[in-house]
This record gives sequence, C-alpha cells and structure tokens, in this order.
Amino acid sequence: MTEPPERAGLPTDLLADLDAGLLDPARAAEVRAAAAEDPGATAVLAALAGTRAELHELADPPVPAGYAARWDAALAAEAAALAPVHSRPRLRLRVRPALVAAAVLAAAVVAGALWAPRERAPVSPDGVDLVVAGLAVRGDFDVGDLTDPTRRAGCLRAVAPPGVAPEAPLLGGRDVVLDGRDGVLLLLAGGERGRLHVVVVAPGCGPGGGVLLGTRTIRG
Amino acid sequence: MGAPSDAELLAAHRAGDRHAFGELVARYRNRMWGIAVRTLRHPEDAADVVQEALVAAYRGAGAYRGEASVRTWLHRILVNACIDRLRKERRHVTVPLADIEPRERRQDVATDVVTRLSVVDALAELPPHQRVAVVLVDVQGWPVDEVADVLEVPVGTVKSRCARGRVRLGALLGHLREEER
Repeated sequence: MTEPPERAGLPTDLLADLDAGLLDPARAAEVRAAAAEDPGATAVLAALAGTRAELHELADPPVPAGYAARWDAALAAEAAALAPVHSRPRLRLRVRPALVAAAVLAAAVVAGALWAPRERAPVSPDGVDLVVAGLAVRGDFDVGDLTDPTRRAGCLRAVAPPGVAPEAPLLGGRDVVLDGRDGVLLLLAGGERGRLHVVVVAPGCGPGGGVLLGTRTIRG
Repeated sequence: MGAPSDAELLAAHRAGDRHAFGELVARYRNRMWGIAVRTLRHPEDAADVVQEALVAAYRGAGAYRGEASVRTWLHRILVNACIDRLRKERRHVTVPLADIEPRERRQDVATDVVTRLSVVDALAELPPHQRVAVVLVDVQGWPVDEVADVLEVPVGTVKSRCARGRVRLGALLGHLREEER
C-alpha cells in the first residue's frame, strides 16, 4: 500500500490538521505562516485540497431498480408482520402503487414473467414470483368466498399447504392467474414476526375440498 | 400546506399510518444508497446494509426519542450497519466498478504517478472509521458537526479522522508525490 509521505519540513499530519480545521486559531495562523514560506508545505496543502475536490466529484450512483424493489418488499413484509401486533385499525387497506409497481415490475423483469389480476391479463406465464406477488396484495381482501374465515380455514385444512395454520390471519389476497390457471392468492400471517405465507388455491376451495396451486413462505 | 416534516412522518408511522414510513424512506433512500455504496464499495453489500438499516429503523421507530433529528437517527443506523459490515467481512476481492463508477478519470499527471488508484479503490483502503468520516464529509458534503452527531463522537474526532484519511488518500490518488516528501 502507498504510505503517506513523510516530510523534512512541516509534518504532513500537521498540515492535514490545519487543512481539516483541527488547530486552534493561534496555532493555525502560525502553521499557515510557516507553510507559506515552505514550497513543499504549500504543495501538500494543495494536494489535500485536490484530494478533497476529487472526493467531492464522486456523484451518488442511482439506486438499481432491483435493490429498490427488494427494500420495498422487505418493508412491506415488515409492515404485514407487525400489523396484528400493533392492533392497528381495521381499514380497507390500499396497496401503495409505487411500491407495488416497483416490486412487481422488478420481479417480472427478473423472472421474465408477468403477474396480473385476472381481469387485466387472463393468461399468466410461468415463473411468477409468488413472494413479490403476495406482498403486492397486502391489504387487498378481494378473495370472494374465502373472505369468510370459516370457509377459508376449511379450504386451508383441505389443501394443507405445508406449515400453514388453517386459522392463519388473512393479510390480503385477490384473484390471480398462475401458470395459466385461475386461482385465489392469499397472503397469510405466519405466526412469527417477519414470517408470512403466500398460498394460491383454485377457485371454489372450501371445507369440501380444493386444489393447491402454489405456496411460498416468506421469512423476514 | 407544505410537506410533512421528517418528525411528523415518523410520528405518523408510529401512530399506524401505513404510508408514512415509505414517504420518509423515499426522501433518504438515494442518499443512504450513496453512503453505503461508497463506504462498502461492493453494491450487493451496500444493498444488504441499506435493507438492514431500513428494517431496523422501521422496527425501532418506537424507540426514537427525538434527541437527534430523524435524518441523523436514520443515517446513524445506516452508518453503524456499514461499520459492522466492514469489520466483519473481507471476502470481496473483485469489484464491478464499471457498474457504479462511470466518471472518467483525469489523465494530467499520468507521467509522474507511480501508484494511483481510483477514488473508489482508494477509499476502500481506509480503516472503517476514517472511511465513513471521509465519505460523509468529503463525498456527501455533510457538515462536520452533523457527522459528529451521526457517529456520536466529538467534532474534533471527525476532523481528525478526515485529516488522516485525506493524507492516506492523497498518497493513494497521487496528489501527494515524491517531491513533497
């Protein structure tokens, strides 16, 4: 590694202290006067100023879209996991368009796939990212008959997605098309902080039976 | 009516407003990314640390007591996460600098420079505390007293870390040369 230069005249570190405003006014004036008589010291001060200028030229790089989507998804998962703990008011929750759009778009780009509600895109290709899709429906409760907790519990008991309790609180959901099949996506609390389940079942799921189309567990 | 202040957004978040934290994050996300990526150099590490900081801030909002500004509080979480990461890991050897460092370097002193690193590479040579101080003060342009608040150290300590860091960087970048020794 290149080491800082050592000088015979005014020490480089002393000049750096002067440059950084570390010296008291009297001492600073003394060192500044001495430096003015010393071409080497003047060059060091100029070099330090040049270093600061070069650092200042570094512009912040833009946030890559994939990272931004990841952060939004992490915060969305955190919000979903904490909502029951805080006993927040039960409102008709609205998905934040910017947040969801970024997360879904990022997932779609990465997976080369599209996820969309049934009415907008009747066919959904393979490769859907259930995690992002699940987080995107947080707060939407458009799940038809499965809004009924008893029917939903019966459905979940019938399809038995691994690790999902039938009475798991519903955090959101909506109709989807998954791999070309109509389905209902449910975002369910996982019983532990930061843990969520995304479950997709075929329409008509209930105590009498159902078809599990997909499931994923999100761990914060 | 103007935009809510940072403190108002944080208070709204604590009161259960589901959008408030997102608005707060939107104000600082780019800056947090800039600090993290300049401090840690590797984009993937920087992204991890920003995420850790955001989640920690989300969870810890209830503990915010207002002793520091929200901006200071948020960046303190980030900087501490960066320093923790720097201390823990030395695994990254290669860096995709082209992804994050598009600026052209000057060519004016090429003939008399023996060793001259890019600014990003040179920053990576600094010890963690010096690096963070230099990134905040010299790269991000923060006032020294605010950096002292973020780092929870005296102003003189920030200045000292910057001074030592600049000397090292000056040598690495070729500003401090043989004839000045």
